[in-house]
Amino acid sequence: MKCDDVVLNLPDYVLDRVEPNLKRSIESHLGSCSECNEELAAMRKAITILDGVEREEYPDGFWQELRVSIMERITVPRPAPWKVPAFAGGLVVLLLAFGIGVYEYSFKSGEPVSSITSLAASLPAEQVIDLSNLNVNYVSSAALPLHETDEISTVDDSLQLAVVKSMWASVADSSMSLEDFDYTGNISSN
Amino acid sequence: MQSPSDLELIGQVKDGNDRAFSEIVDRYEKKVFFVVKRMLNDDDESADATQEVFIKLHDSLKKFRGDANLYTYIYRIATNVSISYLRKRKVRAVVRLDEVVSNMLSGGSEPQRQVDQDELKKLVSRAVAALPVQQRQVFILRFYEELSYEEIAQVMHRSLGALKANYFHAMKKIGEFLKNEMR
Repeated sequence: MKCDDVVLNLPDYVLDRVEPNLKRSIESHLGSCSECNEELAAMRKAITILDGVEREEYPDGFWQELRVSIMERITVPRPAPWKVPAFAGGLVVLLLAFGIGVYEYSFKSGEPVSSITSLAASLPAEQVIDLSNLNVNYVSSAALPLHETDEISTVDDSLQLAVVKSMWASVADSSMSLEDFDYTGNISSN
Repeated sequence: MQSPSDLELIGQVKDGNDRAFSEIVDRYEKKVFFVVKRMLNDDDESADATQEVFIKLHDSLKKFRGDANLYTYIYRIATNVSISYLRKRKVRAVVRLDEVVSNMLSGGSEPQRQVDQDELKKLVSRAVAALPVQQRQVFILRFYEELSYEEIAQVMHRSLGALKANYFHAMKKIGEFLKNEMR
């Protein structure tokens, strides 16, 4: 095994979560590699500390209250999203941005706009209404690609793409992550 | 009497049985809460986000086909809701781990100071919260939830190699953070 392969498996090795064959290979490599042994020592130290942290405990009442709140929100009829003022405003922005998004998308990619709009038109009305289940923040932020850093990209940069993708998300399954959709607006196979 | 499987409960929920959904909440609320809490590092936000996870789950169960495990499906919603919350935060007060690490002095022979359990919990929470989002997701699902890489791949739709790399880098950064903070 090469060092790169070994180090990636060190957390699992320290926690004894590797297959026996892999474990033997790692140990064989560690027998002759001082750099990986240094990584191993650092990893053991970190994991020892993490393992020493007791799990946070919350009183039974906390869980009970949380459960009751969830069930209340589920069983009590919720107003239609378009009757919520904040949503209505958001929907207007979303629809406006959607129009721009479809135009830009079509212009830049060469894909016919009709491939999106005709799909929407061919679906039952209630599925198209699913678009309203996604509020503007969710749509625009969730569609941003995840970065390796915590820095938040500006929503505007990706709004066009987000809006286009949101349409596909809404017609397919509003609960799915928008990362399920590739950048050409096609629904991925999984 | 044997308790119903997740799939049986889902079937009952689809038939309009709220009690079955309550059973699902009972089974998963702690897992969801702790995943969200570790992602957000904020009690109040985590309680709200946990509720949102289950509402999204309830709304989407009618479309759940059962070709994935319910728990990976729930983890997926939980991590997505968490990311959505993170991105709604206008200002991040979290210290970037990369900055901390780059400012660290070299050499690790200084004795570690003693920290009590409360302080240690806070330190670890800060270390986890300061990880880049994807590394944080992988770390929480692998280290705390003990999901296999295959299961995490179902949750995050990433390759196993990428997940292993995320996990290793997360662990390494946490170790460096703790070492720096505890000296």
